[in-house]
Amino acid sequence: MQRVCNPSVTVPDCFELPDPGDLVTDGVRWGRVDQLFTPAYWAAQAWFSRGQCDCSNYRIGATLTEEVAACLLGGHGIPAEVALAAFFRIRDLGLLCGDVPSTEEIRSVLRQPLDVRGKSILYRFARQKSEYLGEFLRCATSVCTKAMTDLQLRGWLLSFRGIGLKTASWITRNWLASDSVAIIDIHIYRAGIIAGFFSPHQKVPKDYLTLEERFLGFAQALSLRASLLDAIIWQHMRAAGRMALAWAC
Amino acid sequence: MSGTGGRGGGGPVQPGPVDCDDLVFSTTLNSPKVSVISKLKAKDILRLTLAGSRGPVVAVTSEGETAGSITEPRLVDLIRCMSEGHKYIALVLSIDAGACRVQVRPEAGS
Repeated sequence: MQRVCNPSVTVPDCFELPDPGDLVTDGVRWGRVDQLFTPAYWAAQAWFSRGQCDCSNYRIGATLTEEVAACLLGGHGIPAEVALAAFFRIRDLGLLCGDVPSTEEIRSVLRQPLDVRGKSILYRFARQKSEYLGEFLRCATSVCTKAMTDLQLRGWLLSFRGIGLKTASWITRNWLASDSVAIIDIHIYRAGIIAGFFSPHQKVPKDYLTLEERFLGFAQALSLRASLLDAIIWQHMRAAGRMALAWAC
Repeated sequence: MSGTGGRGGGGPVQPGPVDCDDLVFSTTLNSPKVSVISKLKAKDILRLTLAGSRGPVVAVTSEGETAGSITEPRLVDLIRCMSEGHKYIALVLSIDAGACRVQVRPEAGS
């Protein structure tokens, strides 16, 4: 067994994980708890995060329309801070409530430089993203999504141009704190390769649903909510930066 | 495919970017070697070494004996900083019932 103790307290607060060579799920071994990005590492990090987690709320927006806008303006290599700054600009100008703005109006706003940590940054993909967001705003307002399940909501979101499985899953996870979907982005993909629950032969977007099934199964094997595991992996992989790229090759 | 679009408003507390020169935290050594820990006392200094590119980070005494390893929410920052050439020590804070509390901090002059 591997014994893990909460490092932030002085009184003993420990739990045990199986030996590194034991299987956590088919073909995947626990690995060492003190080695980055093994299944045991993720289990321990989830345990450390107890009491520090608002795990029922991943929302960025106050409405589903805002959530779609926030997620739609991200992705494609756009840094999180830049995507959020663009979303706040659009939201604060009132373009996400009341009269539906034209694509040109959205594009004009996205083309203005953003202040990100004191730096003036231009938002890439202003033309493409304004088209996608404009289309969504024009078409989505008449549909009631309140009674939709997680997968129904994701399926509906997939009907919009510019929203693929990753973005639709991201919106669904954020809006419903869903554990039925997975956001297979580059961080989760690399983490899966390193821990062994993904095969390098499986690729996004081609194998998205297979990878999602593997991720959800992995979370279940660790007895963790998929949404929590996703959030923890994303933070740690992001902190690892370029190191993770080498380990996933 | 991108991982840079952010994730959401909730989830675990998200610490900001860590400056390697400011990376200081207290922790309890994982997998403590009782025979080594028993010889330590408060204010002893352990050298931290990276045993592999993904860890573990092991705490080594001046006699070259491994006292334990680091298992911590900031392990990823510690390994990133050590990979970039920063050096760290673990100052022994206390030994209690086989548990060794240390403060991890940059080695002076590193």
